[in-house]
Amino acid sequence: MQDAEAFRPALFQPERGLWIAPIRHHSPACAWAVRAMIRELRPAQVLIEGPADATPLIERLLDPRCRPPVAMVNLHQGRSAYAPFCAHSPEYVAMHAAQEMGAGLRFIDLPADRLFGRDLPDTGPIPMADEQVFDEGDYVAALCARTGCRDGFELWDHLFEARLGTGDWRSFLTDVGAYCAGLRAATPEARIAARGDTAREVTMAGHIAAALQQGSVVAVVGGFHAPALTDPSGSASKTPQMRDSYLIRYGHAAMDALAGYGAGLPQPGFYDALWQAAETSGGTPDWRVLAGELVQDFTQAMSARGHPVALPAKVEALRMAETLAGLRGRAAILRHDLFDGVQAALTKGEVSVREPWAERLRRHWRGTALGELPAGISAPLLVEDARARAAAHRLAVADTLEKRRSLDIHRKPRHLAASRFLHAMALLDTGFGRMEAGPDYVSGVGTDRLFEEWAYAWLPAVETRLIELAAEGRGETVPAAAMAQLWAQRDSADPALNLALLARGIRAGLGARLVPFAQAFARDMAQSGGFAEIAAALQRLYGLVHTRGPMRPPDELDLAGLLQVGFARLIYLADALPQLPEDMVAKAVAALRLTADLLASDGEGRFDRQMFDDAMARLADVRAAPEITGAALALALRAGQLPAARLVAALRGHFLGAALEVEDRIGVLSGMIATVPDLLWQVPEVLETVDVFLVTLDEADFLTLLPSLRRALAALNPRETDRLADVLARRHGARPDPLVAGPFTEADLALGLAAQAAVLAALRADGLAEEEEEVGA
Amino acid sequence: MVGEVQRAPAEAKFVGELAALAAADDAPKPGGWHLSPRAVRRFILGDAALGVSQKFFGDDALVDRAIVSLMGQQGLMLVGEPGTAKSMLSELLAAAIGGSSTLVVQGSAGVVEDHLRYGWNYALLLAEGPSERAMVPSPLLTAMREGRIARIEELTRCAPEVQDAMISLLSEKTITVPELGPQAEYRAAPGFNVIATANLRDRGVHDMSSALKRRFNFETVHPIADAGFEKRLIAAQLVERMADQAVAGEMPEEVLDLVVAVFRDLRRGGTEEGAAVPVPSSVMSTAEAVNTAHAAMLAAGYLDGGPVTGAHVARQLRGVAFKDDPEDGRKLRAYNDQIAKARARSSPAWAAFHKAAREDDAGR
Repeated sequence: MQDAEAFRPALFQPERGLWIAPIRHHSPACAWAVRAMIRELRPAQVLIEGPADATPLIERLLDPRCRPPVAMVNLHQGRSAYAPFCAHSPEYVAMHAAQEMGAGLRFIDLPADRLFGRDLPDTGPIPMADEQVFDEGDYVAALCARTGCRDGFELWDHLFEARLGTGDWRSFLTDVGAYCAGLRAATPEARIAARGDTAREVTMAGHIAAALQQGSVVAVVGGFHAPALTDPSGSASKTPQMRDSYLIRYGHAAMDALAGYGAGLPQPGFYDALWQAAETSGGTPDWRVLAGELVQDFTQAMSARGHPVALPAKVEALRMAETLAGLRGRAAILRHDLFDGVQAALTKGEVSVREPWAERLRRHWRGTALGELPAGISAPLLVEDARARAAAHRLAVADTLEKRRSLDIHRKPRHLAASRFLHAMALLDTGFGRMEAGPDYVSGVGTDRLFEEWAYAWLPAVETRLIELAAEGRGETVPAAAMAQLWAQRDSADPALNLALLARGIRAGLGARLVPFAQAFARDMAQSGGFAEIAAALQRLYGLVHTRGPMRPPDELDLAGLLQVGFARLIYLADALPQLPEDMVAKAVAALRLTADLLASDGEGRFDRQMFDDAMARLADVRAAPEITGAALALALRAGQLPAARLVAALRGHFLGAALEVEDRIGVLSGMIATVPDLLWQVPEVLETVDVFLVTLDEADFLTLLPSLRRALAALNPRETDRLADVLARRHGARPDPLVAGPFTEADLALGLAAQAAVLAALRADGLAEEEEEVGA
Repeated sequence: MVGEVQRAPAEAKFVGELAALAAADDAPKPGGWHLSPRAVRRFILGDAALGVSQKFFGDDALVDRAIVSLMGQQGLMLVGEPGTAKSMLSELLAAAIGGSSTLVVQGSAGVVEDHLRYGWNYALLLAEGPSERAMVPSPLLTAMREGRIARIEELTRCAPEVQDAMISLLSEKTITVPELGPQAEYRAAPGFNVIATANLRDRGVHDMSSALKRRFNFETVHPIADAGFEKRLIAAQLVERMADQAVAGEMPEEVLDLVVAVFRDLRRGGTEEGAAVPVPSSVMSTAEAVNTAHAAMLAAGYLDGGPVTGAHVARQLRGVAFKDDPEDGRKLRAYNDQIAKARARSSPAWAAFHKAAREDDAGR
């Protein structure tokens, strides 16, 4: 670390009674050094980076019944910020050491409100500590290149975790300080200010300066801030009352997820094992033994899950890890060495994006620990959030009586907000509210209704369900949990379901939170789903895009973009229609009609019609099921892509051809009728061909074809049937008369009455006539 | 021997670098190794101080694992899409570790067990009877005797029975020669190991038995992840290839960007902007991108006598990369209709590409 000599912050100032401990969150090596430091120095006060107003939580954290991982959480307008503590968190270890030494303890950062002032991404939890600087930037990249480390995490482990358990906290923390000074020197001032660090550092410096008046101080702060705190001045700012800050049970898995947002080291399961090993040995762990235990522990867990690992493979994994650590010039066998060892020894085959064994190890080291808190401390946040929101929407939750509420969702924004909340609660299956009447935009029923009528009650079951959801880690707020619910129910192969979920999300007011969901939907749609499903989804999506009022999708969702994705996929799939299995042909033909109708109604030109027309022209040219060919020819003809003669030729070819299945003879016809029936009366040659065919059929063939013909003609709506009858009648010189099929005689009537009497008698004889009598009575 | 060759083996091509590394190498060496593992790493990943160039890009940890795998009992199996520099990596490792990259068996349907063990000089065999002199050792046997690295290219193209012969070879590290007497056998000297490359997804390859798989550590070599870097690499390769052509080899920036984008989009199944793209079954590797761009430059230079444009790329794409698979043709059409068409509005190179691809498509 000679190069870092230039910036070596004065961390230890015994003459002033000030010692600064620069740390990285969740680093066992830092925790070890900080504890040794506090035990040796016995300071009067230990100050810790954390929201000053949350200081009352320290006492609860130190409660002997509290077992990490736990987290401090701060709620603010539906968002929550977390500061997790695990057994090897330097701050947590420092608190215990301070308590042991009888030192005063407090948090010195800006109050928790500051966490919500910044420009925040709309999704995901907010970490209280942001350590992205440890993993990016020129300084980290340059050091990585020099040490052969692949990223900031490996670099950190290589430089610091490898020194876990060494007794010399002075040189360890000095090196961390130098490293962090380097990070800071390579970070532009503007960026530091933009992150809001300047204000925080002024506050922390003020608290430290004030504390120094009362005796010696150890300040445990994120390494990045240490260089700014070596000469503290100013005075402690006034700390507001603690508000909306809680201690909750937390889990390693959640910590790992939070690490993805730039806070602390990932894979707490691994670092916890390091910490335990150091604790057991009372110093530097025996790295070889530890590596052996870690590999054994992992392979055992995998065997239990049906991925057994043979002994030679375990040995090879260990040998690889140990030799790699040696090659990389470190005594400690660290996370990346073990990853590489496991990957090299256990993978047998080609891997695509993520290597399965490395992925399993990653999941394994995410850890499973769950914290414990004594009753009375823990607040089930989701329950609190739901209650608070219900109250804000003037929904009474003080008792369990059922109440009613009529919501004017079109005209009153407050009513719409309440309705959205009720829909979100319904999405969560809480049983809180029940819509008794109102528009159902998801299924499209009753969308002309203006009011929603709700019955609701805060039953114990509602709370139970919310606690259950919170325990499953679905989120701390109603919108977050509703979003998680949508993700859980999503099925990437079912566009209709996903679209319905998206609609429910919009109805529940999830707004911009739905963006990743819509994007995932777009990805799914671009890769999976059959022609018919995509066509149906496209039609509903088109409807959704044009919805106004309470169901209007937020612009951020870019549903118009989604339409394009679906349309592109549809065109792509259209070229695969010739290979479609027989049982799906009818659906595909219906989907072609659906798409054609959709394009016809698309007045604003959202779709590139030409692409569809081209696809139909191509489809008409290749060999496919006759229904598909008929549909494609008809659509291409209507679009002016092909002459009518092509359709006529295909019709005739199939009528006269030698088909294995009789129905195939009229396949082209039924494909045409199902998609563009008007051709029958608009293009005389078509009608001519069909008519000639039917007229020349002999009786036996006609009877064989009759069922298929009926099915094909059933696709016509009554108006179309009428039209066809009219044209046909004129063609054969008859007068079309919709009412009378022919003149009746008195004899006919008598015959009919006699038949009815005979049927009734027969029914009575069989004891089946009761109904008839009742109706008569 | 002819003085000039198209392609020299790695140990000859980088003789200077290897000598510099050997001279500066003070780290411990495993038995039989010509360089220490750290020096091998530097040979492949570069060391500016010693003037050693970087030869393999993108995944340093993979190189570490490959070196350490070769220090143990397991062989090293490099798998991955064609054109991801598997063979080059195997050649570099063999040259640096064993001093020779030429002990190589080219896997094919025609390979028989003798190619892995030994054959005979039949004239001598008939004249003298079985003797060591009459024996023709395989590259594998030579590597064993000399403690070097043997390379087997395209192992999965060998028939299953030939692959089976590898199993005992790799676990016993011994070749017995019963013809020379009951005791005659060659045991591997320290430093011997095997690097195999294989293609697991191509058509017409044989599956590997799990017994054989167990004797190898597998490493998948992935296409280059960084777009900017891939672009530089393609540009450098094109300069190298066009150096001895009679036509000027100018690759406009915009066209190069287009080539990189087309190959990356189709390889990853999505654009940088997140739009999904159907992935063709054809290989869309960096090497294929170089081939396509090279062919486009040749067509532009020799046939059209002008600068290379997006249209040239479009016309070469189907023949060079897509190899006329009808399913892939559809995918290319979808790409052209949706992605290229949109980009054509703002870029002349893409406009030319779109137009040419469309015409090409219609011509079929």
